[in-house]
Amino acid sequence: MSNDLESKSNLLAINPFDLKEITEFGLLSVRGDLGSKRLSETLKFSTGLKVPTVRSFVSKSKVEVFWMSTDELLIKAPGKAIDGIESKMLKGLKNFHSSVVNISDSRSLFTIKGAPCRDILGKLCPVNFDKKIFKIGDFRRTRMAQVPVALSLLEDNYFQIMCYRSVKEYVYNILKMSGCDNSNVNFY
Amino acid sequence: MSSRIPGHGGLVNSSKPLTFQFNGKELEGFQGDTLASALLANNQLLIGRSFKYHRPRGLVASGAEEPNGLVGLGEANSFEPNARATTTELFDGLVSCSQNHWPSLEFDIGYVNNYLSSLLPAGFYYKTFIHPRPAWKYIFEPIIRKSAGLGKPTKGKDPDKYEHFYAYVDVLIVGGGISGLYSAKVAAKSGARVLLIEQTPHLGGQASIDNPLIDQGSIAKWITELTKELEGMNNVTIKARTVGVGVYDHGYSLAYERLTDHELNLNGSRHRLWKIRAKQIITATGAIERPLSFANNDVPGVMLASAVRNYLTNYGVSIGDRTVVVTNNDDAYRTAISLKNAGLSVPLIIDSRPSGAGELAKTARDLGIRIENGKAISIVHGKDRVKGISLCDQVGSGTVLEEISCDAVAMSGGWSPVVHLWSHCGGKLNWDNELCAFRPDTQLPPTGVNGLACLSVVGSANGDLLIDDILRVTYEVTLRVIKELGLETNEAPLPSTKGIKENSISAVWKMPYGASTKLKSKTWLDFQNDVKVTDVELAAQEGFESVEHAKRYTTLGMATDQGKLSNINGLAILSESLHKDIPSVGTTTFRPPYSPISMGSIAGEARSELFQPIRKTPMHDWHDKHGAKWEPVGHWLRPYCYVQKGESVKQAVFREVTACRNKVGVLDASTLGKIMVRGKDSGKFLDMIYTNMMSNLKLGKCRYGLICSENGFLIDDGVVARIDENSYLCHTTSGGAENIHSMMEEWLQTEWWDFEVYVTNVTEQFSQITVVGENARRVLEKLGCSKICSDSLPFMGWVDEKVFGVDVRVYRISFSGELSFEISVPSNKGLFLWNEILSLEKEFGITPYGTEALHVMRAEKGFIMIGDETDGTVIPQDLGLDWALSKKKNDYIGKRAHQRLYMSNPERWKLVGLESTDGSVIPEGAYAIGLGENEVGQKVTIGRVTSTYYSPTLKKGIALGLVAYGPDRLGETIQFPTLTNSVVEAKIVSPIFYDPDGFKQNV
Repeated sequence: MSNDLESKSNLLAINPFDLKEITEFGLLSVRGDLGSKRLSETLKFSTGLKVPTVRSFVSKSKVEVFWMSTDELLIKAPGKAIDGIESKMLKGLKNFHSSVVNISDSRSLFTIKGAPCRDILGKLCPVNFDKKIFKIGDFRRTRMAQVPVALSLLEDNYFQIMCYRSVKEYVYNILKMSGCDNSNVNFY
Repeated sequence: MSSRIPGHGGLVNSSKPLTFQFNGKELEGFQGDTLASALLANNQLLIGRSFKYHRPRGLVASGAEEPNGLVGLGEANSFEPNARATTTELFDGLVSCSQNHWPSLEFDIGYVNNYLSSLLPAGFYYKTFIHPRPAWKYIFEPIIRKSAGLGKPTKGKDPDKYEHFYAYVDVLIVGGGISGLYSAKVAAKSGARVLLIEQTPHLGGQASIDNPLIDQGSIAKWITELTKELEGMNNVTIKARTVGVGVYDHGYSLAYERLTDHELNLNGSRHRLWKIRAKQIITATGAIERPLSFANNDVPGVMLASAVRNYLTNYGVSIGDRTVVVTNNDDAYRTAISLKNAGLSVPLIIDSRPSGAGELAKTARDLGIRIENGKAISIVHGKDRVKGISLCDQVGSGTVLEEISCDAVAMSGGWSPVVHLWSHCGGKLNWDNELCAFRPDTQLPPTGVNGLACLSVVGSANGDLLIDDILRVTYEVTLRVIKELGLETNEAPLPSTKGIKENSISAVWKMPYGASTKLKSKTWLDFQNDVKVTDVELAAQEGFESVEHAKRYTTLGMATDQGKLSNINGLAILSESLHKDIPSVGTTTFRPPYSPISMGSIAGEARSELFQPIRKTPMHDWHDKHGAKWEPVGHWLRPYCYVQKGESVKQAVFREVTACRNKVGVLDASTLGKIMVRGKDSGKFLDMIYTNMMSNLKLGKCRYGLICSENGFLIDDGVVARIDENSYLCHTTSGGAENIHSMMEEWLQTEWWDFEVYVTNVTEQFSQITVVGENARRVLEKLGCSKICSDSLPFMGWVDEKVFGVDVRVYRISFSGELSFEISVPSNKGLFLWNEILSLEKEFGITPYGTEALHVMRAEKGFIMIGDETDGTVIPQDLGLDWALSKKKNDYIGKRAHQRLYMSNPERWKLVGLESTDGSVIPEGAYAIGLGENEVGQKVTIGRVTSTYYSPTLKKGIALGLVAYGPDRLGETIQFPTLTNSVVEAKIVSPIFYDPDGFKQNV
């Protein structure tokens, strides 16, 4: 997919930073009382992970759980693994006020890696990307120029970007544009 | 003449010559020059013509405050008008031209206005060009527009790239003079994250020109070492060529960085707009020297004393060989001393103060400079440049005591602290009589989220003009600021300094004090907008007593320099004319931006293909390759139709409609909104959201529903499917998905928080493909669907199927009146399934169709379209949808509103079909007229067209419309006047034009 986007873009070449699209993944939207024992136990049973704290994510064996809001989590799993997690979640939360919806096909994922990536994101998102503020394990829902995105810091200078699939070309092109030559900010 | 002085100029590198153009002339400058200094070095004193009177104008200042030195920069699409020569860095190949003259800078026909100046006082056009009325539009305005004004706008597309940057810091410091630098050090040593911005390319500010002693060493060394130390700290960012342009609520600030303007052909973004959230802001923005108001103070060669000194010290350029210095304060003596030390002649220092200056006067006298205290300039001689001045007493009316020949005048009326940023977000000012200037009232600062000060001022911006005060106050203020942040430091001790003691300034707003009207009418206050002392006096005399009114009447301070030089002098004249003191007259409002910024920087990345995000379905590229003519729907792009070779858009639409009616058509309906509603109270919840009953919908069934606003107006419609006991999937319009989703969330979070319901927007999770037409079922069977016969899948039902191993859901619903299935498939498989269906194209005669065919077909069936039949004022009852308003339910959103008298008024226009009697298509939006006129003399209207098409099926124009008592008037004819004064007659008919019995959708 990333090659596909690459060939379509008429924009300038980018600095040596890595911008990749991730394609094989599943996503599960989970709504419910995050403080409840039932939900945390079901999550533990389904993913082996505990409920993440505000604006953060937890991960284990390539499964990630993101804190989306006070009553919403997002589970990401590689390949088709989400199907198994979905049935475990549905089973565990049966007759419990909650909602588990597979939204695997509705989002696009990118990763951006490299020293300038905090500055590149800083051109597009109203977020403090200071190393002391945006730390590994942090997760932030914000906007990227004109569209909503969610950012998670996987490793130092290695962000995962989630956006709606309908605007993935916009997100890709805007990141590429922001990383173009000679526009380093040297701020973060 | 103005020229280069060898051996001077700390900022220029005389071993690196650069060539540039001014008005087509090839000139030479040095690396480090500004365009202004390079022009002066080439004796190009005359730079432009004034706005109104076309008087010859030269440079007055050396920085962002410059009112006259505006030029056009660059060529073709990169041309930029009104660029300030004083802040434009010279580079090899720079192309510039002067503005506002015809035919040439040296000979300008418009100068005739100068001789007519007595006929063109402030507000002259308000008074003069009133009658005859049309003359303003056709004669006066075009002439005034042609003769007034500055640069011409660029016509082509800007080739440059721009960007934004969001920065979060503890302390933002605006200004890189000594107080800004020192403040940065104190803040940085405490551990705070510091951003220091400086508008020029160089740090050090005015002190690096005046060179006071600091820590027993030179200031230049101190600045260099401090800068190096700050650059080495990883909690400090220094950005030169970055101007702080605005401070907004809660410390939000904007800064404007010029990245590539100083070189030819630099890659990357041209400008960067910084959007800064700072916990604390410290402005160290310095002070601006004021001109003195004497007759002909605008003749080229009259310049601010500090600018004369700046050009000499930084760029090695002298403005003239014989410079008269005129002042009301000690600082200007530094200019005289510098000039004398450089070997230039200073025939006289004119000091308006009877007691003259302090230590600096002694130094000047020791250099042999003549000083006249208590004197003034009566008038400056010369037209295109200074030839001499007449000396007079400051207290008199201007009687000439002596004629002195000179070719430059360096003037100083004192210094005004740059309080713009302080004032932008509410900081108050105090008039300081001793300083003769407004300075920040530290008791009433701009405040942040906690109600405490979020902005502090240091340096000369605070009114401190001596180095001892500057650094001491900077230290104290910065310690207080970092304390607010919970930080402290003792690692940045106060340097030792010894400033030169100066005598007080005296207030001189006019020179001489009793200047005659003749002199005052040649005394300029605002150089850029051509406002004279007499103009402000006239404004006061005519009753414009408020400083804001006087500003607008005279245009004082309204030009691109926003009155940086003129405001204080102007309001002083106003207060004198009104016999009030200056503080009671007050200042005009300081508004961002501090200096002009490019439109491109405001747009940032949002231009060309990134101007707006475009939402694309998984099949977007397929549509694009197959001739889609695009239509925006919300932020989506949908195919309006697919234009084949040799076909018009109209023909394409007819072909698509005909194919659907006769064979089979496919539509990409992926943009349709889809909201999953889950929870045990889902039915109860949807009964409140929709006007009709949803809770009794059977599993596997679909129902069309309406959503109204609280005021009862129809806002969305769509099909709801019962997925399981506790789940419903609600389809919305393409443009309405996000709104309806947020509306549902809002009701759940604020009113019905006790409902056990969660809603999830799954619009983009599924691609939806509509298969329409007699052959539709055969197509689906061919794909492998086995449960779609009319028994197992009746109209308004759904089934799950597997197609090529992919799970799909098939809904049997119809918006076209034909047999129709909507296949919902996970988006990643959307294009795959689309291609599979299209691979059967030949076998079944499949035609992809776009939104226009969809519209035509739904209109033929009399189905309403949100946004066509509704416009925010239409209720379901208007559209004959009473059947969808549940009478069984106690409540739903809009129910109460529907009971208002206005809503149940039988006179409301109601939906009908309309057929033109001649078969033509009634114009879109046409109104039907009734008998008589309304109270304002317009013809009475009795209805309007909401949708109108040519029906390829029925071979005639058909329309839907809202008509008063419409359903009761079937068969009557009404008139629709058109824009071309003809009238279309139309018969009122049933809105269902095609297959009224619904036979076709059940084949």
